[in-house]
Formats: sequence, C-alpha cells, structure tokens
Amino acid sequence: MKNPLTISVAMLAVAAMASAQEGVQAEIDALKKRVNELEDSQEKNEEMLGGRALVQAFSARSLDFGGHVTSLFTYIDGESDSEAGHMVSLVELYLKARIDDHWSAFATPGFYTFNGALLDNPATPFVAGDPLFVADDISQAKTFLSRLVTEWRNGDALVLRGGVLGTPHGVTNREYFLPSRIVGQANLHARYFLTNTLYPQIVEGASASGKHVLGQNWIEYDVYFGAEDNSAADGIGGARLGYTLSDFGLTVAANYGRGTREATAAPATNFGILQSPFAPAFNLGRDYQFGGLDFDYRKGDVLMRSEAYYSAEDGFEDQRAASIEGSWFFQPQWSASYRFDFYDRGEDLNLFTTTVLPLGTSTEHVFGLSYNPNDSVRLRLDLHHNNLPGSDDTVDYLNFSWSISF
Amino acid sequence: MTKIAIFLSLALAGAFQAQGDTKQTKYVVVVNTANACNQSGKDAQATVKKLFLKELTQWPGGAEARPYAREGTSDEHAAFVKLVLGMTDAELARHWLKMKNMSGTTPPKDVDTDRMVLKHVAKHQGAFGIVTADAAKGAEGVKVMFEF
Repeated sequence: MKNPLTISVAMLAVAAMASAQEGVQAEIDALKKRVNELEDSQEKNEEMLGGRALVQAFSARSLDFGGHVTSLFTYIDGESDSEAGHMVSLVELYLKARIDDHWSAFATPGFYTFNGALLDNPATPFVAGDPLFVADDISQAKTFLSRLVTEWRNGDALVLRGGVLGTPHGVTNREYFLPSRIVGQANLHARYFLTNTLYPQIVEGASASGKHVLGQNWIEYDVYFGAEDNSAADGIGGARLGYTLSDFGLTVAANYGRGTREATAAPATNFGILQSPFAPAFNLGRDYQFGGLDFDYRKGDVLMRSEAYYSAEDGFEDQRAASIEGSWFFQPQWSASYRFDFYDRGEDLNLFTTTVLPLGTSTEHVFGLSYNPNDSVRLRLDLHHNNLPGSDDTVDYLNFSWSISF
Repeated sequence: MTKIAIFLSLALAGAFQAQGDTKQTKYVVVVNTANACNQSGKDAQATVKKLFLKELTQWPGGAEARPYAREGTSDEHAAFVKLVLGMTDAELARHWLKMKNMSGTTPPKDVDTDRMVLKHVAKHQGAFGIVTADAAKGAEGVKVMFEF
C-alpha cells in the first residue's frame, strides 16, 4: 500500500515539475518573441537612419519635410501649324512644423521654369491656329511661394490661418498642388498658377475655417479676407459653405467673393500663354463679385468633380465658367478621365482697336489616362480639344506630364 | 480496440486543428482608458474612420485624436482598410495624396507590433490603434472600442 502511494506522490511531483517547466518554457518563448520584435524594430530603424546625421527641429514638436517634382511636355496641333516642346517644370518643397496642439506653420517654397506654349500666335491675327513657344523663362528657374501659412487651431470647429493662403474656391484649386491632379492642366478658368482670372486662387491675408459634425456628416466653412500680390491696397474677400455626406463620399458647396481686378502693368505682353486661350490679366481694372457652386464625389474607383461660377464685372460683360471632370480607376494603378470646360471670359480693352470688346467663349474636351506605378509617382497623358474663343478654330494638344511626390 | 481508439482520437484532433486553422483572426481598435467617447458598433467605426483619415482631428468630447497605423504589408492593416475604412489600398493612397496636397497633412505613423501599439495607446489620451483581439486581452491602460 505504501509503495503505490509513494509512486503516486512521486508521479504528481514529476507532473507538477513538468507543468512548472512548461510555464517557464512558455515565458522564455514569450521573451524570445519580444526580443525578436525589438531586434526587428532596431534593424528597421538602423536601415532608415544608418550612420547618417539626424536632423533636429529647433523648437517644433514635429517637422515634416517633403515636396514634389512635376514636368509637362506637349505637342500642340493648330489648324495651320504645330509645335512640340517643354512647357513647365517645377519643384515645390513642403515644410510643416508643429509647435504644439494649437500652433503650426506650413510653407511651400517653389522653383519653376516654363516656356510660353501659346495656342495661337497673337502676332499673326490673320493666321488661324499657329501655336508658338515663347521662351519666357527658359533656362532660368524662378521662385514662387504658393503657401506660407501660420495656423492656430482651436479644434475642428475653428482654425485660424494667416499669410499666403489658398482660397477655398473651386475643386481643383482647393487641391492646388499638381501631384493631386489626374488631368495635368487645370480647367480653363483656373489655368494660370495662382492668378485671379475669375476667382482668386491665393490671398495674402487671413482666414477662418472649420467643421461642425452632424451625425456622420459635417458642415464646413471658410471665410477669408486679404489682398492680392499685384494689388496690396485693394481688399478681396470671400467665403465657402460646404456640406459633406461622409458615407456617400459627396461634398457640395456654395461660394461667394468680391474684390478688385488690378489692370495689367504691361498690356503689350498680356496674351494667352500656358495653353490658355485667354490672357492671365485684364487690361482694364474693375470691381467684381462672384458666386459659384462646386461638388466633389469620391467613392470607390470613381471620382467626379464639378464647379460652376458666375462673376459680375462692374462696367463690363460678366464672366461665366463651368467644368465637370470624371475619373474611373479601372485598375488600382490606372485611371481614365474625361473633362469638359466652358469659359466665357467677359470683355476687356482690345489693344488693336482700342475699344472694349468681348473676349469670347472657349470650350475644351479633355481625355486623360493616368498611371501610378506606386503611391508617389503619377504619369499622365491628356488629349485636349479646344475651341478657341471668338472663332471657329480649334486646337488639339497632347500633354505628357509626371509628378513625383516625396 | 486500442488502435481504433488511438486512430479516432488522432482523426478528431486533426479535425479540430483544421477548424482552428480556418478560424479568422479577430482584430480590435483599442483606445486609452481615459478616452471619454462611449460610442460603440457602427457609430464607433464611423468615428474611427474619420479620425484615422484625419478628416476630423478630435474625439467627440474634444480630446485630440492620435491615430496609429500598422505596417502597410501587415494583416492588421489589410483587415482595417477593408473592414473599417471600407477602402482599397489605392483609394487610401489617393486620400493621403489629397490630404498632403491640401494642407500638408501626413498619414498616421506606422507601428510594427501589437505590444508597441498598446504602449503608445496607453500613454496618450487620444491615441488609438489596431491590434489582434488576443493581444488586447488584459493589456493595461487601454480598452477595446470595437472588434472587426
């Protein structure tokens, strides 16, 4: 009887020891796993940093640095002639410094070089459709500043900004930077970088914006006031009120603004460049008030954007513009797009007749194909068919462009 | 008889093992225990989606959101993008391109492991991240907001 009892106790002791050993083994395994994870993490960090020096921000809590490089080449086919060449290349650097929960700064110094790319030579008014490159800034990179923003954030409901700001008008303008664009060229009424042909694209001033959440959706507002770089003393202002249906991927917005258009300082060189059928500025200054609607739909593989604006030009014919763009990502990396632009430029002083004449209406159809080999690179091939203003002439141009974000 | 019993036992064990293999891993979104947001289910998912995509930056109640992502190649990331964000990777990439080009907004930081996600979330009041349901069990300083 004693022996079986001893054996049982011994067996239990062995089992308990084995069980304890299993516990220790499990603990060792867990520790090994954690050490492996730490080593993997260390290896990843060393791979990123190597033996290179670290950049430290002076006082910012975080400092983001990046940018993009974009180039656009074109072939322009007019009714009388054709041209092929380089239109624009630019680099913009993005710097964002966050000081604390409230304060941050965002600046994007840029450099560019471009050739005029005129759809029709203005020096040969009796020859229809003779495109021309004007070596405007060839081999001479210039600087520009599209954003220089100091921001104070009280939360989603109130964000105050000051400096060089993007205005909230227009769906393409709101996403100003070129890597975002699926079609390389902006629509007709916002074709010139940072200028105010119908509505201002940037303002030197201050803005307030915010979002108010309503269930799953939200209302967003933007109000701004300031001046333009060519007219520091003429105030401009505007506002946008939007509503986002979050689940549906749709934002609709109403816009309003007013200001003064400064007359160009050099009327003799004020003609359409950068594939715009209209000049970047007006020969005669005037006050204006504009209103407009825009909508932005993004859901799954489909992206639709549209805007329509009307500007009442004091003492001149009014301006009207509309644009609708649809893109379908038929493969994760490939998209096909179509855009239609309409732009009635109103009227202005004609230098040949020295009278005020209508500037005419231009329409444009764009068929685009874009390929994104990875998240940071976008290649675009866009075919534009433009009806030139004030005539039956048309011009076709094929643009090949790319943007690399970093 | 003994051989039959052993065979049946092995067959049964094999069947259970196979069942275990096909069982899908469950993931959870964890938040700091001090997070005052008491949403759950679909509402919580919708809020987390907006905060992760940085369309909004504050939790209901006002705390600043601090999202943490998982590595782009991880199973956690794949499940989160599909089931919570309801997007594809390409769609998500386009979203971050838009956010960068509108306001210089960057995506949430990637964190490699469940343990590190739990550390970050436990440390910051508005933080949230994605971990496996098993990893969240018993973790200190965090609570599960929802499972997916």
